[in-house]
Amino acid sequence: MKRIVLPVNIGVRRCTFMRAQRAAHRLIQVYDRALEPVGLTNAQFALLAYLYRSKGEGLDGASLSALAEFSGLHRRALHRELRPLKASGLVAYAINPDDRRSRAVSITDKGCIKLNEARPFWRRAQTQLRETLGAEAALELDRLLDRALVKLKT
Amino acid sequence: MQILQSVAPIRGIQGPMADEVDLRNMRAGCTCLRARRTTRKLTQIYDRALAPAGLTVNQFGLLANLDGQARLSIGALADLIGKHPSTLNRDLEPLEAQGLVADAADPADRRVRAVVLTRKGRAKLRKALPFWRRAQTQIEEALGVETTLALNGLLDLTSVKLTA
Repeated sequence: MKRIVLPVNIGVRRCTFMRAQRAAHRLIQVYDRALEPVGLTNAQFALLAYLYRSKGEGLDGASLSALAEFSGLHRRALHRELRPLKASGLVAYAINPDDRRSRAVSITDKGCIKLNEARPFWRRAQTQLRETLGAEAALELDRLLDRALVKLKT
Repeated sequence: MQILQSVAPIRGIQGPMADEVDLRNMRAGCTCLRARRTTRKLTQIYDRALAPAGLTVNQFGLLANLDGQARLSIGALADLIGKHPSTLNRDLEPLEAQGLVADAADPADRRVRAVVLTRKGRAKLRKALPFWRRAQTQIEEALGVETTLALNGLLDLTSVKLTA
């Protein structure tokens, strides 16, 4: 009897990574488009918001590894997002006097103003998503993503 | 998930920060950020599991999506996996160099780049399958099967609804 070989495809239908990658890509498109008028990507918006919080807590800046961890960007992508922020004076780099190899990134006053200006655009993306998915599904998605972040150990 | 701490007002922002709470709760509030962080974490887990097979999960996904397809244009494959075509082209280069995928442009229209899984690519994919399964099982054990299925379903819903 001839053995029927199913494409591997069928076996990997359960793959959570592939689904997450595709969904994240679509989400990034929606948020990036919403933030386009203020000239920020969603990743840059998130980085500024994180740095803003650090500043509010009286910290001198955030390390690159803390920023990578918060934003879910790998090193190269993180640098790509930070470069234009630095060029337009929204963030500044400082050398850590205790450890010259590590740099700390901080938000400038100009960066705070930009963040404030961008906020309604970001909120519009959140609203758009809620309307597209339905409020309940959007909440559940957030809840399950949070759960995954807490439960999954790398 | 820890909620971001309260933030003192910062010089440079004019007017009342009526919804400053948005910024403090960035992590709690932003679905896009959550999705990116979760994807990053998943990438790390699957990458580690697939390392012995000599593939990243990104590469594994490309091969798996090409499997069972006659040929796929770069645009169609990019849509399927959720990537910019330019990023996808860059990701395909090492796979083509290893002979795991091959160029399969339509002879009638060479401008539309398309690729196909080679026999070698299919063998590589099959060898990698148990390593992928180990990672998937790890996810399902950490989250619970039901939660994983629910998460999978919502991720699919997001992709479908946002594509329209």
